[in-house]
Amino acid sequence: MEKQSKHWEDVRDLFRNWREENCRQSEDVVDLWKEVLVNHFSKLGDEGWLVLEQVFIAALDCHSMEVANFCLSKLNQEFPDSMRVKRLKAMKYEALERYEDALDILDIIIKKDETNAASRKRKVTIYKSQGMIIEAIKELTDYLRIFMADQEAWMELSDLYISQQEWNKAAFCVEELILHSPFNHLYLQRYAEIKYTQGGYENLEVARSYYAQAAKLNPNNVRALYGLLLTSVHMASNSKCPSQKKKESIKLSEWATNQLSQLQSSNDSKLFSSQILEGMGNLQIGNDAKN
Amino acid sequence: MASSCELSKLAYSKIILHAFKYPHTAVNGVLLANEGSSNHSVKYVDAIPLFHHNLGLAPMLEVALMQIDSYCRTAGLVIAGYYHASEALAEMSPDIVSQRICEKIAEYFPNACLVLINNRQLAKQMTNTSLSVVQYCDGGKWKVKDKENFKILPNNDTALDSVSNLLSKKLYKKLVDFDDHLDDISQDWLNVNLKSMID
Repeated sequence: MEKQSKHWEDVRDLFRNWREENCRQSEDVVDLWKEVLVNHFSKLGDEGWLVLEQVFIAALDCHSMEVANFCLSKLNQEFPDSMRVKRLKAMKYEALERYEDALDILDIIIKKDETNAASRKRKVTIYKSQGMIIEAIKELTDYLRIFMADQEAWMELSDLYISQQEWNKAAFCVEELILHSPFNHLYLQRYAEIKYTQGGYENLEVARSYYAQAAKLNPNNVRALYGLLLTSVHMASNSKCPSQKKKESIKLSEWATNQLSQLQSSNDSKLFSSQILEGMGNLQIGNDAKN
Repeated sequence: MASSCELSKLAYSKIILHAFKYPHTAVNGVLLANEGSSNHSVKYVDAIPLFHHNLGLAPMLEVALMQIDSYCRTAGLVIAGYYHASEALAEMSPDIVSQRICEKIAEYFPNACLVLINNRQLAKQMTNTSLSVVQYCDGGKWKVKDKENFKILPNNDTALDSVSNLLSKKLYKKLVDFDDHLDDISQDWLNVNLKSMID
């Protein structure tokens, strides 16, 4: 008895943790709900409603409609007039691919409450899931005119532009993010990735600087280290590069190789950094190779 | 001149497991064939899962392809194809990025195949291969392969049973793609451990 009651508390804490960290552990959430938490629902108190919302969204993700309907009807009973529950209902329609019904509900919510950010964001995903990327971009730019400080939204817009190969616009979104958090190494790394993909010597140089800064802020960022290695080797072999910068690039590439092999030896994994240098150039997919 | 395209059970399982590990994002990877295999009938012996974040960016793709290329040279393999599952449920045509990567692969391995995952057909109990194959032909055209010219070895039913078995054991959680490797360098993108469980 003692053991079992401890068990459900563990699951509750785990769920709480996932909610706070925004983890998408949908399959685990649904499984643990069915195995453990559903039998202890009454003990959860007010937190129970949060758990129901969490399980509902996870169930939609796994297309467990039975679980989803159970959660939604409980929430609906408790909060019949809640906008938040209405939004969940719209999400259910989304999962069933009844996009028009979902949009109708969302429009009603937004009409009543213009500051309902979450519902506006759902509209973006509805377009996206139907492959209507241009419409999704329009909806999201409208959203960002109102909610300019929403970093998640800028990141999403950047991703949408990347999928359309609109590099300048994608880069612009990341510039906004860097202004928000200048010391976030992930933003710097993403900016470098976009610039590198865009191609051309000037962008290559920008990419190298941003990779270098990202690697400086977090020496364990493997993407930044690989990126630094890649960009410096490209720069060193580029005819447009002045000799001073060539030397600098060679130094940087040596440093990055060093860092990578240190990470590698501390982790005991295989890495082919030396072959990367050797294979450089002939597998380039960027715009350079295309032209 | 109907050329055939065959996927080993290992390659097929890895493709499906990759799609199951990241059901909410697009995933991609490359397909490997034995060196010196004839271009007309391609037999893919292995698959390397690549990314589940931002498939459209070049730097890490280049890094991954260089590492895979050097692995291939030591193992007597070549990069000979590409697979892709899109993020949206219904999307089934190759996007610009897949086309571009596959064209690049075709420069080195003519008639490279592009394998597309049909998200709608994926199920815990697989009854359909859920794949469709297009092949790159000269002149930048893509040709859809007929079902008869596309096989999973040793045969479709065996492979479907085997992959359903892997799915029921949730082995997709063990699959490592190149993005996972970049997040945690100790993760092995060759999936050596998984290989023994599939065979």
